Amino acid sequence: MSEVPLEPGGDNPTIGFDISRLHECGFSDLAVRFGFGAAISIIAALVGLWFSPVAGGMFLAFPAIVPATLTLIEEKDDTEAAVHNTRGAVIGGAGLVAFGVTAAALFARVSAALTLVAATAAWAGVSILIYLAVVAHQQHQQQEANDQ
Amino acid sequence: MQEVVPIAAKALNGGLFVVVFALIGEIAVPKRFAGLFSAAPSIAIANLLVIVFAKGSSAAQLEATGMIVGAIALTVACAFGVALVARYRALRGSMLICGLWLVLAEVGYLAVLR
Repeated sequence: MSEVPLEPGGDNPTIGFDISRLHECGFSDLAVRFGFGAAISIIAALVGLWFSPVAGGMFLAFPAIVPATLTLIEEKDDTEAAVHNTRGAVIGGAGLVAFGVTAAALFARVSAALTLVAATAAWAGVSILIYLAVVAHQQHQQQEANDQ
Repeated sequence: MQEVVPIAAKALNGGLFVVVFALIGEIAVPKRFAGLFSAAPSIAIANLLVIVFAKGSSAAQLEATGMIVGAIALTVACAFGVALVARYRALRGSMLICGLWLVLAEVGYLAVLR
């Protein structure tokens, strides 16, 4: 069984940060993630050159980090923890759509710096709102089940 | 040959941003919340920064437009990925997520962007 909280509710926080977990993150873990990030950036750039910038842009949302993250989570915790992480990635993916829409809408209108800040805020805002809505819905269902 | 420097900058930047978001995801609890950072815009920010610097905002806008289709494909692939990881474990499950993303993104490209 995993020792890390998998879902919010009960004694688990809805949103929290445990700085002590940084000690569990070794150099090799970070090197693997750096490698995945660098590799997909090169692939996105080459697709953009060989096909079109729009096609290259699609690869900015390639799930390159998912294999590295999930395998490391399974190694440290268990498969169940990786499944719960994937559930979160679905929500983060919806936030990534908001990032793309915001960036595409603003690049022609405001400065690039402001566009990237706004797009990142859109990713964080949409992701957290959907996450909180899902958590509230699950807790409401749990409460109804307990009442019956 | 003139593209080597921007590509190298994208690779370095992409690696660094992925590590930063991975560290945030590492300390985030519970696991479902941490999962948000598995779909963080790390590659996007890293690459768009270089594109803006090298080619300007209009080139970045084109890439961001393509990214919308890629992000929709990511969301759908991860939704199926929940069952795939539970059934096939992390490595095979995540490889299937990547494969599914390629199919969905290709369909989206042909249907919307081409």
